[in-house]
Amino acid sequence: MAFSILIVDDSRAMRSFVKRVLHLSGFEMGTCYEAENGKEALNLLDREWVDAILTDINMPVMNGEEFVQSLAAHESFHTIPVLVVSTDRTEDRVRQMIALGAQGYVKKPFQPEELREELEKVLEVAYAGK
Amino acid sequence: MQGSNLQRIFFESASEVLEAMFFAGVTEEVSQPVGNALISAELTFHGNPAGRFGIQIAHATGRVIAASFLGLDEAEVSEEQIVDVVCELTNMICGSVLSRVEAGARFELMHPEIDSRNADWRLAKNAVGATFGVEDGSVTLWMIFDEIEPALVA
Repeated sequence: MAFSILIVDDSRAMRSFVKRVLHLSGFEMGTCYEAENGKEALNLLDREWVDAILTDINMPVMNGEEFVQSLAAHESFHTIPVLVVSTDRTEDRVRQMIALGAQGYVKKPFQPEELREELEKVLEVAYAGK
Repeated sequence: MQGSNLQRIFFESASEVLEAMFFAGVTEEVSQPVGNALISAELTFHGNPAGRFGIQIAHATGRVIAASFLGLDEAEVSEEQIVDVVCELTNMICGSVLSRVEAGARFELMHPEIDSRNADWRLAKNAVGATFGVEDGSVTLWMIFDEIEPALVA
């Protein structure tokens, strides 16, 4: 089964890298959408359904914290699993993002296999039995 | 400040980030930056400690690591992509350095920007820097604290 994903990061280079390493690592990816910040991502989700979201935290306009909170409060989007991908490595931050509604957290720098494994883990939890 | 704790941390962080995300090896400290056309990027970070962090990298080296990061041939990489990748490199190395400087502390990293002014980082008070070899070129990392951190520059 191929999964459609949304990559939210203000760095075009980082979005391209994430997309490439997921492909190279053997992740079964369907359509891959991209957004520069949380607000753009929410606008995109009004038009397109995705199976999982990978998001950065530090972004202009709407950061990752606000974005994850908005998803958690949304009547439809709250079921979409979210994997945070960030340079912030503090356990305090990881706990905070999980408490806000994220299902997983990958710290940069990461190995390609690590990203795929974490993404597959949150997908498995979210869609187990469906 | 040669041999300072922060210079050791710079090497560990540059190695970790460049090897994992850019597939590039880092060699021990070199005395002078390699190459003429240098790209400089920097960002401000808030927290404890607070300050500025920047990197300088030869343009040719920037092109090599951008190609590696994006999975492109070097000839295909645009100037905009080199700038974008160097900014992302700055962001990731800074995050790695700060997590080693003060494990567990919260920092807020501002968006990295290309800025030629950081060529003068050596003139700043409370500055620490180091230059390492990477992909036939070099990368210089520097950090300027708003307040001196004696343990780091000892």
